[in-house]
Amino acid sequence: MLSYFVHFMRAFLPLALVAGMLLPALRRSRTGEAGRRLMGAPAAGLAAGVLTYLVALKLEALTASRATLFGLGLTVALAASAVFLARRRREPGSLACWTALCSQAALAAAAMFSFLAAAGEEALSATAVLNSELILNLGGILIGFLGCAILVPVCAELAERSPSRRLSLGLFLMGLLIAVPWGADLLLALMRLERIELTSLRLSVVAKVGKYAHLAPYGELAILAALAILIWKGRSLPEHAELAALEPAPRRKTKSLILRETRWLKSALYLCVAIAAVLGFYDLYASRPPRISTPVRLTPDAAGLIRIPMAQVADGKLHRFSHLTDDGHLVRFFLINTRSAGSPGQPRIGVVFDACMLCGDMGYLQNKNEIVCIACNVRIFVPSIGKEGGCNPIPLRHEVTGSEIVISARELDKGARYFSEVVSIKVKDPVSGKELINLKAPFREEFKGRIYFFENEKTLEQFRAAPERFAGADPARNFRVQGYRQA
Amino acid sequence: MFLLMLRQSFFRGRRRKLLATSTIILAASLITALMTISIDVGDKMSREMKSYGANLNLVPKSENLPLEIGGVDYNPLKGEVFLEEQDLGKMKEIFWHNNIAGYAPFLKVPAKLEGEGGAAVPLVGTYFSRLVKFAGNEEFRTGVREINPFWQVKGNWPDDGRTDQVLAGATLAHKLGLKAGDRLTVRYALAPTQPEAVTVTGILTTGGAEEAALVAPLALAQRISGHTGKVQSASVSALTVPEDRLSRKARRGADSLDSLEYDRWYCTAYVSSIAHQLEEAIPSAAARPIWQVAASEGTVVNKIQLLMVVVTIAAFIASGLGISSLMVTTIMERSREIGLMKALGAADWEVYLLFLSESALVGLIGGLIGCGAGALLAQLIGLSIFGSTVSFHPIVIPVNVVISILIALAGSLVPSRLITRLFPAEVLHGRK
Repeated sequence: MLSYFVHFMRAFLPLALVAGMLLPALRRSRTGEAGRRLMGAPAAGLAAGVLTYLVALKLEALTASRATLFGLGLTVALAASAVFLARRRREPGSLACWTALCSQAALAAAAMFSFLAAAGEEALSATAVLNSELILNLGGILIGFLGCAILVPVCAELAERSPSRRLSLGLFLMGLLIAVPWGADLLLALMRLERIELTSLRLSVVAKVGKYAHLAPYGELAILAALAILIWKGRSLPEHAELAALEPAPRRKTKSLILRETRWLKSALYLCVAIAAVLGFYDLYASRPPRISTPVRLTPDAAGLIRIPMAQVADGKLHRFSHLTDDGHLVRFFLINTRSAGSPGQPRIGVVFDACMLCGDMGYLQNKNEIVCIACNVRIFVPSIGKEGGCNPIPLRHEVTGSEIVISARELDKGARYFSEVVSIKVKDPVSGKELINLKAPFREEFKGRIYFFENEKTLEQFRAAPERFAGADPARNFRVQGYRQA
Repeated sequence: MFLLMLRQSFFRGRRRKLLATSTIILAASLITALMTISIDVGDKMSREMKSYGANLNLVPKSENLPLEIGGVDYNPLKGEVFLEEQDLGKMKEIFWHNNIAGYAPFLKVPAKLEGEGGAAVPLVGTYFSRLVKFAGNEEFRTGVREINPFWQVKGNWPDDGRTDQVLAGATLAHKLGLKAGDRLTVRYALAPTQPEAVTVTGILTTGGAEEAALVAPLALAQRISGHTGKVQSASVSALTVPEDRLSRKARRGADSLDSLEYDRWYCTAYVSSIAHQLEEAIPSAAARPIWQVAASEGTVVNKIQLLMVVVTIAAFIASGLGISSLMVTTIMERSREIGLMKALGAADWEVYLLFLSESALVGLIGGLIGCGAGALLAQLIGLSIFGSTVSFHPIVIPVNVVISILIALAGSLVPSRLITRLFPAEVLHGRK
């Protein structure tokens, strides 16, 4: 339910806000025409969006169509604005109207397309028979629709009461918030299709915009809230004495007008807060993947061994530990009793890395009695933990001596490449022996899967010339694809 | 001010409002009843599709031809083609072998009891809870006790290693008066073979067809029938991920996926991909996921769903028309009041708002009462179609209230246009 509401809001919020803010200007420029006609452009846009989506789905070219649509939208809006700016002195009225209608249609098409694409990623319902989930999801869409539908008149009222310069600024900012992600999307598509050259600057711009694109709705709501607050601050309410001096009828009229204005402003603010709160709840909490428990950091003894008493880990729970390698990699592993609680005999402890050969190092999670691979949501058959295959955690070689499980730091070090988390620690330049901070070292070199850090280029060159001399004879670290070969 | 007016106007014309409410109650209860039933089954189906475990049925390929007419199986090969028992071990060699939580083979043979009457009983051979050895996996305990934890035995489970112990299904035990500890002599019904003396160790309750049979260790069923090393089918319990878009697409056949999608599908533990891999591992077998709800109640509900839509639309239109005629009368009756409001400066939309909120309120009340009535009706329908009561889902309430309000609003929308045509001067003078 929530995700559908959020998808709807993300897609349609810009359309609702822009349409609402342009409404008074459109009404003014087309005096005499029914307001209903103004719905024509967005309606055409929505239809175009649906059509594009259906065609794109059929041709399996969603990404390309999205870029095309955004590109077209940008071009249309920019061209219309340019024409308007160039010729506004001569024939202001109708041109402004056309610009507004064009951008509305473009927005509507893009909104519809992005909503359908986002919703298409998830299933509205698991079966064709009516069920609660289907109703809830439809309810989410309906509430989103109602929210947008209320936003349009609210925006129109605010726009009516804002000075035109401020309104233009608001619209400009809104346009920027809409156009930048579109532009980034277009840029990415052009680079993919090799129409323009791929450079690291362009890619980093696209990546940055993509990373923060989900914040755009908050920005748009903030613009709306700012307009409302500025009107609130700027309005001059008549003093009590002034009101008292009026005739009863005009006094009541004035009071009623003020009351009505206050209600519009309040509803705008409440709506902004409510929508932002729901979006925030989704972004910060509901859409987050489940988190793993914090691992207990273990340090090996002088012989390079980690000893864990079996009794400590035999209770059927997942016990997560971590080990820090020389170059700052945090290696996670966990132990779990794979024999079910009631069964007779010695506990049989599965000792595994907290990473999957297929899915990477998202880790595993215990949910009641089930062990779940976070990345792919597969339930792991507990008796099989410690064995390779499927989505099982990568086995870790270990020994059982009496009542202890002994894991050598060397085995853990071999698995360091399965994990991406790196901690800032002190390391030594293997050539000069100078102490450095691993994340701040000026030069680094990978050899046999281990990272070595150097204070200057000279030591790096020396190392490159004869790495074996400095790196020692430890066997190479495993790649993730070699994971199951180890055990 | 508006709320005050609404309150005052709401309590006027009570008889008409009562009539309007009962129209809506009728429609809402009908819709609630059908919806409750549909949602109950729909929720069960979607839970089944989204569950993290599923059972697959492994049968010989030639038996996979559906030749069932009116519940009777006409497949001539039924029971005549077999899977090799040792082939079943191959299912622990597939990509998702760790996700196979257990399996149980079945061999059902017709048998006869020695002694007076010589009752014919089916004898089902299976694993109860048996350690099976695979390369690299020294202890894999599997059998019906592992994959069907809900099977219950009054008495003791037989030992898989022995061939003189059986369980009697509850229905069969009731019919023949068997109890734990009884001794029987069983003979193969189709060919003269050595009779076997067995002890009933317990009475089995499963809720399925096994209740009418003797359930024995597989070895006994094989020996008695002479089908050494053969099984007819196997039940496989697998840990899976919920169905989603990709797996639904794959259901149309693996050809509809492009290579990237195929890889993702193959390397995700969907029921369908595990079934596909089982078939790859055991070429003579066909694997079918068992969607229990979808196969039974789902088919019925799929058919009544269309009926539901039609009934809903009919109820919508009928009660909408009822409301509409009531509304016309109301507006006519209260035209002076409307005229007065307009004369005092009320805009058209404000008068609209008053009348529409009034009818929305009527819809709300009617919808709530209709929900209650419909829930009772649903129980009756449930008892007559499925023979069981239907649990009530709270989600029905908001949906019904929304539909009822929509009915009320839709009914009032057209007549309320009359409001615009009322001119204060005319109505206040009483000319119209």
